Amino acid sequence: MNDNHNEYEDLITIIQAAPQATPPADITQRVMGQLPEQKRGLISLLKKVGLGFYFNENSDTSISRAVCSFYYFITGFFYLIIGIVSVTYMKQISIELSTINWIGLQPYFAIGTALWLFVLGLVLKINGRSGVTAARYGTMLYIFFVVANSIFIRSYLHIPYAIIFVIGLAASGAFMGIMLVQAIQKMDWKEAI
Amino acid sequence: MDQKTDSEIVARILEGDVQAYAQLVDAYKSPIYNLAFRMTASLSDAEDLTQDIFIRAYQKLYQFNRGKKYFTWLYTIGINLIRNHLKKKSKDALTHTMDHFSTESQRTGKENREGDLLSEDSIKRLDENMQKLPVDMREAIILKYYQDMTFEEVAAVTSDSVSAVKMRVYRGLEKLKALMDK
Repeated sequence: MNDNHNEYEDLITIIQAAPQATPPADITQRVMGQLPEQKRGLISLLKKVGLGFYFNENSDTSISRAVCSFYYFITGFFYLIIGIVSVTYMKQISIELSTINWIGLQPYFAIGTALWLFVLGLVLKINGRSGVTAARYGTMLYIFFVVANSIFIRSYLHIPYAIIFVIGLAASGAFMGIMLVQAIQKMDWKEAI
Repeated sequence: MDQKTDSEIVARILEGDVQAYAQLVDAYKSPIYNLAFRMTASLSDAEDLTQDIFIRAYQKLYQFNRGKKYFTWLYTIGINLIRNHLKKKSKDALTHTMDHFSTESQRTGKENREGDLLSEDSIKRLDENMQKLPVDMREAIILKYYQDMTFEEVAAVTSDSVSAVKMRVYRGLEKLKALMDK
């Protein structure tokens, strides 16, 4: 296959010679007369607070969709291991701690987060452009959940310096989420369709 | 209009100078109108779509990344709206619109670059056969040859890889050629 498509030169000549249609003279006025309010939604709000990168789709060094999807799987695997280990050994560490409802649910949250990230990785891998959008919003939900969960944990833990643990937990979760989003930004998402 | 100028106009609009948007509409109304017309083969649909595209672009202007080319972003919005329109619209009245186009292009179109070498009939047949192509192939050919874009620009507009666009253009030309030779 030749990029210049020389074998279709005659056809291309006809295409390029086709006359251009002229838009109505008053179309600019018509557009200007119908301009609605601009949608200052979540995206513009995020851009204003410096998180516009979340929705950008350009990068100098691109990675493949498979690699990006793999990042989701590996992060999910990390949570899965944490979940399995904590389900198995939490009671051995502290029965008292595991009886606190919210704390006791943490291993299952970790497994749930793992499954969520697996799903996002899978969607990203198989579902093209809409998968990219779903993964972005899905990761945003993940970050929100991690931060909210940390705040809830803080309210149950009455241990000195617990705040440091909570901040560390929230920050590391959010950091992983941001890294995943940046992976999407670096992805050659044009191959997604 | 160059990228810097576009970006400056966008900045002015976002700062509240709504009337500056007229400059962007003026600059891009012709290619957008032609894109819509070539895709739909209907002048009235092209008019409506051109207005819708510019209005949608205005609404979403906050999402525009000023480091990128405005026209690529505008075309992407345009292509998506046109695709949606084509999905909704049935494919009737093709002959009518094509006849209408022939008359209309004689009245308003710019001069045929190849002069008398290319017959009006061959251009009319080309337009009719273009409408028989699948939408993705049609848009790739239109962007590449009618709109004179590079493969990279077409890829950016259609959210495809460059290799996919090249393949689509090639397949489209192949199919178009077969239709023209019938």
